[in-house]
Amino acid sequence: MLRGTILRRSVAILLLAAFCLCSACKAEKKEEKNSIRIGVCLYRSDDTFINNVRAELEKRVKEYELETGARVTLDFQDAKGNQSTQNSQVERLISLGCDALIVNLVDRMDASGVIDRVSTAEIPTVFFNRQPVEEDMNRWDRLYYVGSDAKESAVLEGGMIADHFRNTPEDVDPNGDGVISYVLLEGESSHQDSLIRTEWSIQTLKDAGVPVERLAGGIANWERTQASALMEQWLNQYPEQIEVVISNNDDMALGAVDALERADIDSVFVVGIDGTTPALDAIARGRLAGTVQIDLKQYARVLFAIAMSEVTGEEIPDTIELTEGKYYMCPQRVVEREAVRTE
Amino acid sequence: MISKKEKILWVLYAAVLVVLFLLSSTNLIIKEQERQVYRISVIIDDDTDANYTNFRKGMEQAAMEWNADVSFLTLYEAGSHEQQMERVNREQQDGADALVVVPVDEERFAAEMSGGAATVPFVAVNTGTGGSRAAALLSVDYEEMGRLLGRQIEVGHEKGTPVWILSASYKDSASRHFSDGIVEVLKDAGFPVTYSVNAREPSFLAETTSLTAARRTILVAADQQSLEWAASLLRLDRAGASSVEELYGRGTTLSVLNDLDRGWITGICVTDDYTMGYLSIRQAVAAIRGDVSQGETEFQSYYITKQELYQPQYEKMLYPVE
Amino acid sequence: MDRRTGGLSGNAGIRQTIYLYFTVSALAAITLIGVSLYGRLSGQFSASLQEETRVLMGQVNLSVDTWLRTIMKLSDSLYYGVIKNADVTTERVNEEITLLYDSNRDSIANIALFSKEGKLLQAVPAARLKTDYDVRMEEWFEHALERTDNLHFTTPHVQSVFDSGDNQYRWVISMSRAVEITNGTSTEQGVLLIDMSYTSLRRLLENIMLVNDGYLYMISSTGELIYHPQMQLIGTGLADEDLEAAMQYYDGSYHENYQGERREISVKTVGYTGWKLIGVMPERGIALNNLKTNLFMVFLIAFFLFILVIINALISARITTPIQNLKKSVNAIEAGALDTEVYVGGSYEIQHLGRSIGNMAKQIQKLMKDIVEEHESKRKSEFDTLQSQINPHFLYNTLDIIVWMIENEQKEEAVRVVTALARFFRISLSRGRSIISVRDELEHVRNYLMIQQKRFKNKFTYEIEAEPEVLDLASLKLMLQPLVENAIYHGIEFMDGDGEIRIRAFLRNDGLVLSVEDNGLGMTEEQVANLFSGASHVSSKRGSGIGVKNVQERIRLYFGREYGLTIDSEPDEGTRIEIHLPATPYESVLEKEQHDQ
Repeated sequence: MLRGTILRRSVAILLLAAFCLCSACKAEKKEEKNSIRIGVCLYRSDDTFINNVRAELEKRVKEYELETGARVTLDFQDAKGNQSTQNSQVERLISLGCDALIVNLVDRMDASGVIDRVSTAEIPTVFFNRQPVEEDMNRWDRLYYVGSDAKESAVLEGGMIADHFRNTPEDVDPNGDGVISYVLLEGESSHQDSLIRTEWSIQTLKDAGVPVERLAGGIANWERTQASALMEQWLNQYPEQIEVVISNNDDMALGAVDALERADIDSVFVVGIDGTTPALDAIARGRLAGTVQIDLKQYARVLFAIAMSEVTGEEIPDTIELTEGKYYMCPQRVVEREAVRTE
Repeated sequence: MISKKEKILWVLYAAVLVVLFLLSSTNLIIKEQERQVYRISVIIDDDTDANYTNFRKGMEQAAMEWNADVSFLTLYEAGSHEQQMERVNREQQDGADALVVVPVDEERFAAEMSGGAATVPFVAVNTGTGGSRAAALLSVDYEEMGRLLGRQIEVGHEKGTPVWILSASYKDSASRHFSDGIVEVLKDAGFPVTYSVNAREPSFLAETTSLTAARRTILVAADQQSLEWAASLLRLDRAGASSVEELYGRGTTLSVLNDLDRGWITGICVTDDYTMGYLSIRQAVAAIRGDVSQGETEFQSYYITKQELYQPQYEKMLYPVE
Repeated sequence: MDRRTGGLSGNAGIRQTIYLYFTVSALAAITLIGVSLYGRLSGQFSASLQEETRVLMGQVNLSVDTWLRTIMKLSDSLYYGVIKNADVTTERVNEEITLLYDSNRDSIANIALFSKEGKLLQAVPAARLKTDYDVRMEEWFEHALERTDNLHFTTPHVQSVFDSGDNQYRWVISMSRAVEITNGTSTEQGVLLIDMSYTSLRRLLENIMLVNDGYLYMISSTGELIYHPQMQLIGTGLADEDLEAAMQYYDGSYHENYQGERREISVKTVGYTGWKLIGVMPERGIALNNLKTNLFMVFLIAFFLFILVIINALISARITTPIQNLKKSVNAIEAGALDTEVYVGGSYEIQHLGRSIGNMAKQIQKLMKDIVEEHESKRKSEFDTLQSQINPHFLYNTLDIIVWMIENEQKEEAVRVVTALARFFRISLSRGRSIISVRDELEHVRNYLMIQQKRFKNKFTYEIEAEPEVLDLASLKLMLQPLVENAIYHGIEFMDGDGEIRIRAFLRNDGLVLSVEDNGLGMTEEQVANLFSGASHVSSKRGSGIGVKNVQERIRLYFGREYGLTIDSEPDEGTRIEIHLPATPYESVLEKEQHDQ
């Protein structure tokens, strides 16, 4: 009898063990992957330039879908100017299963949060517009950066003014004293481009032998409204003295334009950098003197191409040249009032 | 000796134990509600999401709350029903658990979806007809909205003031209904109404000036885009602006709200887009889960002027907290 | 073997009982332990959860407080450090304000300084007032000037003082205070506005998970929502919160019922502003409640029960199996096989029982054997007695004497002898009775003596004395005659001189005594012992065949072991045999016999 009981008991235990094993090796739910998912993290969605890039990217994706019939989804995230928000957004995108990431860092000094996560998860990432430092970029070989050469844009910007000074000085020197009196609108102090653009736009003028006088300058953080407020202040401070407004970007330039419109002043020469749609509109209307247009189409195309090549494993087309295998600087050109009028 | 009966009892007892164990400690019988991620594709009727910012915010909030993975898709070509249906099919094939669709052509859409094009549950937005297979409808009575605006215009202006209704390059059903509603009220009230399509034309204002030299016109934009363009024109072209009495329209984008605030627009009709977006995802998730269908939810329209803009109840609606 | 009816009776009696009791007590023990542990754990669990919540609330409170204080300190720094006693329109002031702004960028959206008339004096970051906008209409402006000693906080709202871009709007909480602005030599009132970034406050409060999907929200002292995880939904009517009740609560913990759900509410007030932090924890499942958990408890109990029952089975088997085996042995014995090897095993008590039963069985066997032997000897005695009742040799010899007498014309002698013989035999038989009266027994021996006297040619004389009261007492038949026979053949026959035999019957204090005395050869002790052992008695050729032993035995058999013979003998002197009997009236014995029949 004893043996019978023990036998039964061991059978029961065996059954239990068998079921335990069964439940432990649950078949993994495999997700069907038949579409490509790219996460796009923006530092702010209310930055016009960033928005333009976004629009171009969306267009490019649609083109690609039509061309190849593949399905590509873009997941946009707005970090609202906070790096930790961006870090959690990156994490979320990774957990949702992105194939690649395109990231516009909030704080370029604080890239490790993002880089750590993507390199651990092995998600190739293309940074744009806000450049991580070289040491950070070198931490993994599947990190890329697409941007525009700040120095080049500044040189072009300054060049515009210099050209006008040479050819049509009344545009840039209405009071005819031979000195260009300007005010300067600067971007975010931590952004690499603000410093370079500020420095080189002025330097270009000096190199071209143009006498310049700085009336005022201020940081408007790339924002139109801040620039508008500053401009208004300066118009009050320096009535009839401001001849040229040099701006690190188009949004701020447009802010200056807003202030001028409110004050009903027409004679100030305003230049910016970026080539955003509103800027081009303003140029068309004749309110903005000129800008340095970044080839946004190419910008978006390159961003997308790098991301896709990483995902599909295909080589990046030769037309796109990467410096050190990582960096791409978008071509830029000057767009001016006259040029638009003649189109 | 243990009798046969006792043996049977023992075995039964052991079996009960095993079952209890499975029930309580493993997932074989009672599935713990795994945090399932619902894949929902949202297909709108436009090629850009410019008019859907608040809607998207509502959607994203619902997506986070209900664990949904939302893909927001725009059409390649705005206003193309064929493209929309093609997209619908593709999304269904690609494994979407549910769809949220803003139909371009609501009748054809309803017909096709009822006719078998729908293989997953779907929620139709901005339309009162989704066909028999729609899991839920989120509708706005645009005609009523139009009438609301019409009445406001009537109240604020003299009879006989010319009214010019602007519309963007494609005619969608919402704008159509909206215009109809306005026209209905204003015609009865004795305001002459004219239609104009494609307000994008730079010469537009020149036209209006020439045609209505005698009296200033009331402009009504039938859709968001035209409203924005009209407002920007007023802002930039002072001369042209002098021929315009007031500008009305519908829309909830930030630029519209700002223009309302600055006085370029006198009054707008708005709906609670955020809630619409939120509910669309929530009902899509409910449909996936197999909950009872919600039927039709109708969204009210409101008429807002600068005064109401920052009032608490409208403030939250128009400027969703993020 | 018992037939099992229904499988659970019979031997299962003890087993069942032990099972039942063990199981019930185990179940009771488990349940008690389980319930008390559960209760205790549950209690501790919820206590520790409450503690955790309290700590968490405290921390959140602290962080909100810190946030507020930072900004309040900033406001102080701005006022006392920068604005007061300074010319506010200078670039330097702007730089200083910018410095302070930069270091608090995360929490602040705007800093602005207004004059009493509503003119914007400073704004960082650069901003311009909306066109045609009169700040003086704003609540925060009015309040700041009304109560100049306080900081005034608004509830969250969209920033609407300054021109904002087409692409953004910001939710802020405005903090305003009255300040003294130096304008040359005069001072006047102004308002310092600090717009705090609502997002930064949200970040403090978001993602705080309380137990059971609980959440945290914050209301102002007037009951308006400052933060709620579902703030947007409540604002548009899609969700609800119990705000009226929340407004009433002071700091502490409460229970409430809202929308059919029991919840625990924890309230903590943030200093200065009067804002209240409210933690909501649904009460369902603060205990370990969950279908699966409950099932698991049930499973656990059932499993333990299972194990325990098995152990019970093993234990009770160990106890009941020996009992069963013992029972089998007992059954076998009952059935008659007394030789069965009784099972000895199991616990000490069972072993003892087994041994005892075995001994008992052996004892019974022995007793039975004894009885059988006793019956045998009884039978043999009876047979002997019967035979002696006939006493053939005495008969032959006496008949010889009678023939001789008749031949010798000694008619009267012959008549006497025949009569005596007849009487002798009549009493010998006594109709088969063993107990006769003393009178008859004396008569019997008298007749014997008479005959024997004739036979032995008067070699001896005899005397019979009896007290009259003993004559009707009970006596054993054929008791005196064998003894007299013994006396004659052993004592007298070979002696020189005349023999004397004296028989007496008298009452003594211990009963009836009958004695036979002779003055014959006597016996040695050894011979006396031999008489008792039956080793030598008058052989059947010469006498009755009944010996002293027989008489002794029969006396003992009939009257008991305390009665019997005693022999007193001296060689050459004589022998005296004493019979000790109870003094029972003969009548009573007869009555008893009749009664028995």
